[in-house]
Amino acid sequence: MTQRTPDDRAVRLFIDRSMILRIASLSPKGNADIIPLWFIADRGRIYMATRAGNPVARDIMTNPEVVLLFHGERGARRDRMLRVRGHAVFRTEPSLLRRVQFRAVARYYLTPGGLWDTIKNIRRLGVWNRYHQERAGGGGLIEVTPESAEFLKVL
Amino acid sequence: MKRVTRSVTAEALRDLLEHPPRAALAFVRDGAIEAVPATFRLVDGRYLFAVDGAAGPLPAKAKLVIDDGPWYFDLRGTWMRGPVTRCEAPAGEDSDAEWYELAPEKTVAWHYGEMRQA
Repeated sequence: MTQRTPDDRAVRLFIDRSMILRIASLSPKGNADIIPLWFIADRGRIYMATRAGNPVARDIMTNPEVVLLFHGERGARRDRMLRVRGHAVFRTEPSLLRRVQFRAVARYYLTPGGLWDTIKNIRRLGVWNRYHQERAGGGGLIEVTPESAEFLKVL
Repeated sequence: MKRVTRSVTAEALRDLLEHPPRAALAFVRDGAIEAVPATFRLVDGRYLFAVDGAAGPLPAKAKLVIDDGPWYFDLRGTWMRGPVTRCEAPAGEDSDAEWYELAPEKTVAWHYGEMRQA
């Protein structure tokens, strides 16, 4: 594996070709956590929407160093993954949330795949709405500032 | 009052476990978090995975996540946490890779396409 900088063109392209990342974090008790999340890359940082009560959001309050894994699903290569190490904080500023949320809607809903997914599941929109209403409040963004990047081989 | 849940059983995701698009492993090394790509295989009910030897020896416990997407109602997956031990490569798999078995102490599974009031 070769170390790269986060602003390396190949790194940025690979991130752009990824739709889901996996974020790994260290819990206050010293255990490993890892979950998949949608994300937005914006102005050199990586943002993931979640609630403050999410275990990863709680982890970064104590241990801000995280590892992100990207698979580049929309690219042609399947033999490598990108690992990014970075420093995470939990952000709740409304203007930032709005900006990232707008981009997330455009990326994950207002695309042919996202629209078709919504149309196919239109009968589920009621329960979708209730799910999000039940969990309203406490929302924010995990903001990761990348510090290093490397491509890893996938077996 | 019933809440909406996206939780499912691991059995409900059997097709995902039998044909995993991707898997990732997280563990703690020298007090710091680490994560690597993994190749997952469900063999006779056992959770087996392989990592590149460059990852170095794994600690005694790890967390494995297998998931799928990317659109909202396609989002599904499972994570399992527990002790890991070296094992032989499953039949037909790369025997040069380092294979491990994870014995789940806890498993969580979800499927946004199966959201319902429970």
